[in-house]
Amino acid sequence: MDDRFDLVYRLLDEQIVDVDGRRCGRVDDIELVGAPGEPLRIGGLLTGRGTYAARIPRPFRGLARTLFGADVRGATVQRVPWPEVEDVRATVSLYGRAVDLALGRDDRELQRPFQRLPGG
Amino acid sequence: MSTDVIKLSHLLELAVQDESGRSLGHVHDVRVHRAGEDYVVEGLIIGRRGLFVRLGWRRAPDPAPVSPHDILAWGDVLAIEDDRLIVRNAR
Amino acid sequence: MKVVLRIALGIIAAIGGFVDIGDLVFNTQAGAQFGYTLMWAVPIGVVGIGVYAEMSGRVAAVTKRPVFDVIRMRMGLSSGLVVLVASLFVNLLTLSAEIGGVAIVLQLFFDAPFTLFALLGALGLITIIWFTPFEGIERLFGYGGLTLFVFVAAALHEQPDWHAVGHGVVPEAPSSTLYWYFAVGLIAAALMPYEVYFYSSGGVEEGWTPKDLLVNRLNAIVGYGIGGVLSLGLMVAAAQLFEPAGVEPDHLGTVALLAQIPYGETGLVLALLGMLFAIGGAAVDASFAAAYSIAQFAGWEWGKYRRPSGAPRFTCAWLLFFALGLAILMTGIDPLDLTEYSVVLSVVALPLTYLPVLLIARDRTFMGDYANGQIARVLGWLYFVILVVVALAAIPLLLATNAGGG
Repeated sequence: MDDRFDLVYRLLDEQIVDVDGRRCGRVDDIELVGAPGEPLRIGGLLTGRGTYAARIPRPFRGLARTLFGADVRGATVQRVPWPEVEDVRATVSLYGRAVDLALGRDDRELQRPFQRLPGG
Repeated sequence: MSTDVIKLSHLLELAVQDESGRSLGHVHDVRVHRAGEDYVVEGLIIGRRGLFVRLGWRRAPDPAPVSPHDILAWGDVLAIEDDRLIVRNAR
Repeated sequence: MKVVLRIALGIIAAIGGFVDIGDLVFNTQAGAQFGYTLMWAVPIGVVGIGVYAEMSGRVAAVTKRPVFDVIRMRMGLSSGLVVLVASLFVNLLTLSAEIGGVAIVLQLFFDAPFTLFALLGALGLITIIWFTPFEGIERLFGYGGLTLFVFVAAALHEQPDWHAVGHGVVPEAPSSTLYWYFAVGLIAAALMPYEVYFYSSGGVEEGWTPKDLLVNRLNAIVGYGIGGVLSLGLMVAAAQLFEPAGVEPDHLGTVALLAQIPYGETGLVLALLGMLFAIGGAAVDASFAAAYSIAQFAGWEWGKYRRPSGAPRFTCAWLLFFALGLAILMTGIDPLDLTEYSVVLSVVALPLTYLPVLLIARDRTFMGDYANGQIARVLGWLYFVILVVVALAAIPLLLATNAGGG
């Protein structure tokens, strides 16, 4: 990770990959912790369709919320604490596994039905 | 004020004004640097919201990124409101 | 030596895979209505897809980013979402048209209702995709499509008027709106974006590195270049056999006549088989292109190499697209009309996905020494201008000519 970088240019919207190389979402938003007058630091990454509404311009936000869902932590949005991030390069790599961070849950849940099919 | 959580998406949609109410543009990016274990915000990159930015265009690559005038130090940010960011008047 | 063979086989598959239902429709209709005078449009389209594919393949090899990763990264979520939705829409129309084409060709072999063949065709393709590895799929449909060279043989068999062919290399000056509609359609049919999404994602699936840049370039230049010869073959054959007789090839069966007239039953069977494989292959590519786009944009696990259970949402996406494509056909829309709309609307959306790829391909921060060289720079920007012009002209021409109805 570079010592200095820009969040939108280098971190936002990048692919998140876990320690096993599984793709498990994108950096859809970033949580910053602090306030004006105090240091502001990166708290964590947010990923999931529940973040979409906040990123879409205000006039379309209601529509986005209907289509993609509201921000429900643990359901439509997952938070990856910043210390879990190992490196930020072409992808954001994590120290841990997706399952331990509750990422890529939909892929995990659909895995079993597919495995039961021949050739799955 | 105790620790607050600010989302990057919120910062990016704010109009930036100085204390006198003069409009300075919008937040295009947030620059961070390493400080021990953390990455800390050192400044906000401000700019006019031209057509390309409206279309979602990201900035060109940055060897020498943007002019010093375009980076607002985080220390100069006075308040974050629902629809705008208020910064200290330029000296 | 084994490596050279592998590369050659890949290029051969690319040649056979070049043609889809859009090329079949537009090239034969252009030849039938305008003789040789639209030949110039084909190289423009072929070079265009060569440029776009080479850049996106290079980006995939160097940065490991396929097209929709680039789009999400460069444009962010909200603008990227607009591009994604537009792409998926035209992708769906294309997929539906290709499934329809498969059904039509099956009807030329056997007698059964269109809807039954659409369903069987779709199920057949899904089964092939499910059980066949990625490379096998490309080889199967690519080699099968090579039988379309029977049209090139037919074109040469009749000994074309080479003088007139020479004239066709230059656009005609005073020409009708319909002429320009077909010019747009020919360029658009060669430059179908789903092909590039599929190609760049395939590059990442196959683990391309900068060592594969030569292969990438050969695919783009030789693969698509020779594939373009197939398109020209269709147009020239139609110019010789249909234009003098005033035949309008508004059915795929009529297209097959171009091979039957010189070569009888053998020619007919070769033509139909070629069409079946080429169109079927295009349906596979189009469905995967859609699934790649969604999965890459959203950050899901994706890839044929992962097996269906390894990338479940990705698998659901391409299955769902097949279902939606079938649903569109069930509305009773004429697949050839659908083809024309899908081709024309695709070119309208094309600049949106082309520009981000161009900007990344020339960006040294991402590409290092592999950023666009002189040729790529010139061609890259030249084609952006061409695409914007074509994209702006497309819908007015579509409306003015009533989708080529005149």
